[in-house]
Amino acid sequence: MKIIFKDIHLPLEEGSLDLDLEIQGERIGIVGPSGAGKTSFLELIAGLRRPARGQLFWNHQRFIETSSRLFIPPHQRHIGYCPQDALLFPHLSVLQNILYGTSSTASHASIQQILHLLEIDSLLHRFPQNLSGGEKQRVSLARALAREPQLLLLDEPFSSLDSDLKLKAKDLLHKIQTEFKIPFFLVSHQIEEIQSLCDSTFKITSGEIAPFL
Amino acid sequence: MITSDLLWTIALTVGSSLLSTALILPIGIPLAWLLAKKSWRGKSMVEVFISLPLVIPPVATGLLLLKLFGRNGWVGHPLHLLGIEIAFTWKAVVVACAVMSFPLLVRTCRTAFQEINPRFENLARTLGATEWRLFWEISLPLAKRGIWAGAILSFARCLGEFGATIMIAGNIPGETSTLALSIYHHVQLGEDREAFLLSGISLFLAFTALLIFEKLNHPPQKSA
Repeated sequence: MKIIFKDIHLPLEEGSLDLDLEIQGERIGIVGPSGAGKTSFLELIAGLRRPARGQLFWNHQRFIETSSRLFIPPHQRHIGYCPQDALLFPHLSVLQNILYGTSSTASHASIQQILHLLEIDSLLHRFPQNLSGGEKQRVSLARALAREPQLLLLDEPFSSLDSDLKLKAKDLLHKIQTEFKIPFFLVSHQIEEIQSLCDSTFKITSGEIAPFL
Repeated sequence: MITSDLLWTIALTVGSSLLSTALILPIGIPLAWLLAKKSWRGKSMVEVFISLPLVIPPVATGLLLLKLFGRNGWVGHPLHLLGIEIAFTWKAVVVACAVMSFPLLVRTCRTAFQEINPRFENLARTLGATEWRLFWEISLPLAKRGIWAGAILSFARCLGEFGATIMIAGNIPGETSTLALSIYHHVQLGEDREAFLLSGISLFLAFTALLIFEKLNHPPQKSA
């Protein structure tokens, strides 16, 4: 997986994010203090934020080029996004949430595999308000995976989990990477989490991103 | 006491209120969504135009409607050629109700759409949702409560509609005489007893509708 940011200027509520770099790898970690722009960085890749200027390429595919007003909308990017607060649709059951992004031709077997891997087979007919924090995170991950994305964006997926569940979730992420071979960006403000799961790490501070050595 | 005229008046009032609300829903809901969620040229002008019936005298709105839907009006003339009469029929009551209650529906629904966390909609986009699917499957269900509230508020507004209705529909007993028009008619004739009876019925209908509106708009808080 290769992603290139060329002269990107993304205004934030406080300050801005200026990106001019190339990232390669399958398991990329992003660290930085709260409010540094980590979520905005993921939203930029997902297509939920438009930069004031710049270009964004993903595996040689142009996602953004402000000079020619090119902007590939999020629904055409095939990127799975798991926000920090899971953000499950409250009016849909777990199963409906998971199937929301799938096409009618989606493989039944691969969805079964996801449900089994994430151990949520028994939750399918429950509604988000009746799930624990950890269950919500797993359903959110299942929803993103069910769409068969080409890239996963994980925004602090362990933040609402206790230490036992965190260990389990990290193991799960390893399994996902092994079984589905989907590259991911993992955002966290805890460097230990990132280092144990990612093969390269970047740090966002003062509106800029740089390799974390 | 309960005469066939009275029953007709109640049926006309409730029926025209229901019908006009049903007619404005398919236009008002998408418009409210566009106003709440999208930026587009001319949006402010549309918002002002929609709100006009709230602030100009209802009789002035009724006069404009009469010009529009009368036999020689822009809309009325082609309809007349097709054999459809609007002015001074029960259909005119529905038109007046629809126009007068439209701003309330749009404003209530717009607020309901604005209250949806935009992150739900953004997330749906990352899951492949087009704007059309987003509207039907995410925005509409999440704003359902506010939309019902808007529909009931519009219905309640129709129950009391007077100024625009008397201009475009007149007060024809057994044809266009709604509760509000009948009250006025009885007061003019000095028939206070009948006027108070009709006022009581209006009060009951409006109170019930507004009670439902309040329940929908301000659901009971769950205790912690």
